[in-house]
Amino acid sequence: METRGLRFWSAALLALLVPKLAWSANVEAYVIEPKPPQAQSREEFKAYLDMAQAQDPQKSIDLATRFVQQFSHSEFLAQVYRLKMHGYRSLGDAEKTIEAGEKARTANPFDVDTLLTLASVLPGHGADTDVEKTLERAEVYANRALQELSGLKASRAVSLSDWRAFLRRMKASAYESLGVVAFKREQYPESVKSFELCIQENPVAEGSQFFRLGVAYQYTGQKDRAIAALERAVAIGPEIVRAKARVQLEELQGTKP
Amino acid sequence: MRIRALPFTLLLLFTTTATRQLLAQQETEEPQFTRETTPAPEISPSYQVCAAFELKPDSPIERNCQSLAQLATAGRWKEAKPLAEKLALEVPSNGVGSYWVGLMELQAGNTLSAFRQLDTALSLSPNVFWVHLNLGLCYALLRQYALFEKEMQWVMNKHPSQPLPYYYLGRHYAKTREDTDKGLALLQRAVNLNPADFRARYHLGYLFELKDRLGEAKAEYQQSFEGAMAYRSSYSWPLQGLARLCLQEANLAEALRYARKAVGLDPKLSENELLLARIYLQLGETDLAIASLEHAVGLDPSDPAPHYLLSRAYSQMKRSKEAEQSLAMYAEVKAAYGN
Repeated sequence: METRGLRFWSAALLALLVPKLAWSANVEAYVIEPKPPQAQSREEFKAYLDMAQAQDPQKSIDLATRFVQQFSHSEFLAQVYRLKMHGYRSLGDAEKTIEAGEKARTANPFDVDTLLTLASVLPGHGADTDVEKTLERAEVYANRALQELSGLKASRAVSLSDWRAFLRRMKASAYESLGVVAFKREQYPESVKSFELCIQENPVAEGSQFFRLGVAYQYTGQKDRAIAALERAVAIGPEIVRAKARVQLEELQGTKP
Repeated sequence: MRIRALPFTLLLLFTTTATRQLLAQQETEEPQFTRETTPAPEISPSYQVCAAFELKPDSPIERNCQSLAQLATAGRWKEAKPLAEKLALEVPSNGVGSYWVGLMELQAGNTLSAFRQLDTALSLSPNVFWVHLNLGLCYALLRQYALFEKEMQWVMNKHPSQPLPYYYLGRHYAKTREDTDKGLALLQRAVNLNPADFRARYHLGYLFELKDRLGEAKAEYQQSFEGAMAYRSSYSWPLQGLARLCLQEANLAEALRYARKAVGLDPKLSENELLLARIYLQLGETDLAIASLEHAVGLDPSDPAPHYLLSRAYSQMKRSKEAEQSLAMYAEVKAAYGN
């Protein structure tokens, strides 16, 4: 594969990194923690709720910072760092997303939301010198998330069909991250497998995932499949994905014999 | 063979659930079902609330508060809400308005909103035990047990003759803390302080049943049922308890009578149908058992127990495809929601 082309495709993939993590908004409402963290004072609980209910990501981050200063031994620290991680992710600050996510993971190494978020953000944002280390971390987190998923328990307020969809979305996210890791390692057949699993699992078709699969197909020489996947990406969108998929399609079809 | 099982109950925090564990003779390998349901919190609106907030007697504010108490006691929460919101605006320095709004949010299942309102009420009126009690309930529903216990302790210290904190704490200790002895002692105190509390009596009876003190369990269930009837309540748990005790005595006819009565009293409670189905299975009335189990699944799709029993019932009827499907559903529901 031509080096210039590889860089181009990799860049195209990375441009779509930091996916929307559609399951993430439902974690608090859907998942029942077996041992919920316990606030030791009314003030601590209120401070946590203020942060959890903040609509503005920057406000949530500020409240999280204050919470950690004020209640440094709180049982809520994993949740607080997780909220901070999502706050930074909403603001598009990958480095700080990773920093807060790692703190959340230290506080609770089994939290699926944290693991999946880190696995999705890490591959695009490791320093050049330790790319492989970063990819390894992302891979470990995605695989651990897949293991932990089977142990999650649903709130009884959630219907079984919604729960199934929620789990499948999380699985899809893990496979998507594994696909990106494999792609960055230039292990294209593995990348295709993971993206295919991702799309198979996801109950809601996402354009960015079809785009990635299309790119991975192209790297394994499966031009027709690449075109089909990119056409799905164009059909599904959103606009940023649509525009990128169109460019790739034009290139691909232009090189057709 | 002994038919004893671990009937099971107690609410999430505070709600009841019933026994999942009656081991029928033919079901010795049945998995243990220990999950509980999460019914609505048992809110106790009271006319005494207005006096507790030290409102001027016979003032318009006090009369509004009494009207609210009247509406809430009658279960007319929707009509009460605008009145409560108005009260909160009229007396912003007193927690009474926020208290009532909080109680209404709690009743509607909006626990976080209820918490915010009751927290405001506590800041404005820190010495009203009703506020502490219901704020404690919010904590329990939000699974903040340390804070829940603190609120109940506050009420018990300041108002030792109030039965409700003993009731709530008793259930909490029995279920969440798995301390049956302490739960039992607390529930006994709740019943001593308020012998008419049929819910406390049921839970006390249940703990007696768990400890194999079956005579005392039966007495409590009977009194609980009579108490519920006196209040024209559809509280059917004591009938379930009595049915379980009859099953333990291998008195299937009497067990069936109680279980049918429980279903008649509260047909929307899945545990009633489940117990009835278990009795039908023991009587060999598989068709009737299947109908009850299917009804139980519809009432509570998150309970794995009826799916499991359905698979057994279908197997008995040689309906192998349906048996397999039910077993698969049992596995999936159990993996999702637990026992």
